[in-house]
Amino acid sequence: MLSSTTLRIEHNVLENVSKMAATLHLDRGTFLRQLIMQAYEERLLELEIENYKRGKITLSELAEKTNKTVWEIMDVLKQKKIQSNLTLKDIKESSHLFYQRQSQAI
Amino acid sequence: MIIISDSSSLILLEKSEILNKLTEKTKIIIPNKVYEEVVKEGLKKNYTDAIKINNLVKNKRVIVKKIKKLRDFPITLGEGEKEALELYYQEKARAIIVDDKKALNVCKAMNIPYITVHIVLMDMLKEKMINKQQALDSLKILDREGRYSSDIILHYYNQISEVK
Repeated sequence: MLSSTTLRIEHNVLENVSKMAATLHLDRGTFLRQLIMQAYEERLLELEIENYKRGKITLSELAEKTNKTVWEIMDVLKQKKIQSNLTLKDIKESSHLFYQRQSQAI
Repeated sequence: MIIISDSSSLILLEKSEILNKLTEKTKIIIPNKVYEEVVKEGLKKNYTDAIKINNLVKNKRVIVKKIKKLRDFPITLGEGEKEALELYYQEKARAIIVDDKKALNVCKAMNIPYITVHIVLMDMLKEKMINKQQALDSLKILDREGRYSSDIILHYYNQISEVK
């Protein structure tokens, strides 16, 4: 369902938006809705990527929160050159705990 | 040996071309939710690696299991990760493969042994399941697909090079 809102935009920006909408054969309202959704999704992605980088959310949570599949979010992180939040210390510790348990089991 | 995998680790194992070989000696179990995230969603979006993982599932090389009961986790996690952790207890697995800091910290807090794809790769090399060149090729793919820091990649490059 669509809801209405009012916002003020600088005259020249609105003029340019109207021109671009016409070029794309869209009415101005539809074009503005598309722009807002696109910008919202990009901003949401940026914010959640920051949370991922800080280790606040997992990669799966990042995918869920941005409505992407795990495959897609891995591609996005690769394209944006976002480094994995794992450190060498994390990996070395993981190995330590694993082998410690393994030797206990043997 | 039973190992549980989360979604991103399973994808990385396949992309780095070691999953098929790994399943020869290790029982990889994934929960339903990881199957959905990796195979069902991957196939919908036409990821070819999802087809390969699905073939391993069909051939019972990767086992999909249903969670009997899901506990309340004290912090938020992805659905696949929650089920993977639960499956660790349910299947009395040896470890869980994870690929990000928060999941790893949760494992640490819950005293669950966790490993990363790098550890799997090194283990396979030491067990002669793959040779040095294959390990280096896989590491190269991991570098690209896993977006690890250069010190991680360099460390494992040196480790692989030192194996006789």
